[in-house]
Amino acid sequence: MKKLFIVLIISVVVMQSCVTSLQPLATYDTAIVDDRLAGTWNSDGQDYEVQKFIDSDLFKYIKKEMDKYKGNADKPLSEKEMEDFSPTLYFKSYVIKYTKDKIEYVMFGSMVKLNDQFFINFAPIDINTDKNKGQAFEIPSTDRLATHTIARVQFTNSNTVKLDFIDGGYLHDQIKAGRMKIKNETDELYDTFLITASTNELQQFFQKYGNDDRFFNKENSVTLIRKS
Amino acid sequence: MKKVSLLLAFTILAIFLSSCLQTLHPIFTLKDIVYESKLLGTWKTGNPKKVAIITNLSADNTIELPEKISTIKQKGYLVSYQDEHGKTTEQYIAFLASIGNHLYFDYYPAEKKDNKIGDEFFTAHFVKMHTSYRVDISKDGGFELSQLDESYVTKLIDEKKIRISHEKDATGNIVITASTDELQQYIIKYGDEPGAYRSEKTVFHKLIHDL
Repeated sequence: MKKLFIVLIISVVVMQSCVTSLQPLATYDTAIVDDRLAGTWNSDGQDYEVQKFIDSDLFKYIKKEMDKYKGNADKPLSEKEMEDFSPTLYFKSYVIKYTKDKIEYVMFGSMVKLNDQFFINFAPIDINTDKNKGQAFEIPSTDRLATHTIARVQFTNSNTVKLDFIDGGYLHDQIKAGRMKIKNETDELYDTFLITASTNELQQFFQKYGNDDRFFNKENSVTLIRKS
Repeated sequence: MKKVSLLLAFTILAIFLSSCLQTLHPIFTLKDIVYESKLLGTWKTGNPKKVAIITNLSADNTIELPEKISTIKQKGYLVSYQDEHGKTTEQYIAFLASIGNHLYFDYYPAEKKDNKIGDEFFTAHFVKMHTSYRVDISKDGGFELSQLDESYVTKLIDEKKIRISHEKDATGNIVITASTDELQQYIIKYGDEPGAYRSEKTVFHKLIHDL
């Protein structure tokens, strides 16, 4: 009975936590740009600003730094030159910004289409706090590993997008029972669970299970309503 | 201009800025844990702006503990670093383990249960890693921490002199995914090798006795 109780507790802990992946689901060659994502969205009172990377302040900042580094202010690099120079996933990604408790969070969102189903890969970029107005907050960079989360994307209509995140408890249980196979690292002592499959393996996995609703956590679904 | 410059600009939150060895798994199993009550207390760290307070992990119930860690908290420590104003700047769940010829501390970032700041979705993208130190207790009651050096391991990996489980993330950083057993094999093999540790050591001298 005690053993069952402990197993249940562990399942709940894993279920509540996000499933994270060391590698992104998208690559520069497979990511797609879809204009339906850009705009300002709202979910449960929280606003999210979504911009194409090349339209974002982040891109402008990086471009300015590159032009400065290049030392040729008269001939700044064009967007195309920058992309050709360093064709990274970010050129086909979106910058997502949202503010909570006076802290601004910035993330990358990169979308892929697998078996006619859209998926988005989220990766953290930055945190901006105004120490005079809000509480100072930073993620210590020395003892944390930045990872990715993945959600299925469903465009209900032009003003509504549904994001379904992976059900961590279901995935963990399936892997443990040998019913699903994907490279991962699990540490039972500290409740660590990290998917370590390559991008290619991840894509194959989502091609196989991307339409299986059991794989997605209904409680972790987010419906975004377009504001502008 | 190198391509890497743009990549570096993108990876603002680059993880391995320091060269201390970070591992996904702990370096210890339950059978390796030892408990030294003489480590408890308030310690000078060699940095006049930083003191370390080491308490028994079970003495502070404000820290969020993984379920299994909670069952062995009497054998663990809470290591809190404070600045010159008495503000806690870092906190770690720590276990002392006997591996090979030495004692080692396994540090794991600690968080308060009820004082979590930061958006849950955003912070969930950051997986906590373990950091390890060799602990040399001196006869005068102090102790010295020598941190395992990441660059030593990555050099061995690059030169194909070692087989230790690892992955490269999307930005090319090596992430050590070795199991506890593999990590212990590494520590046993290189534990007496000075190059396996970072050159700077932290020497702890007691300020206040047992808390």
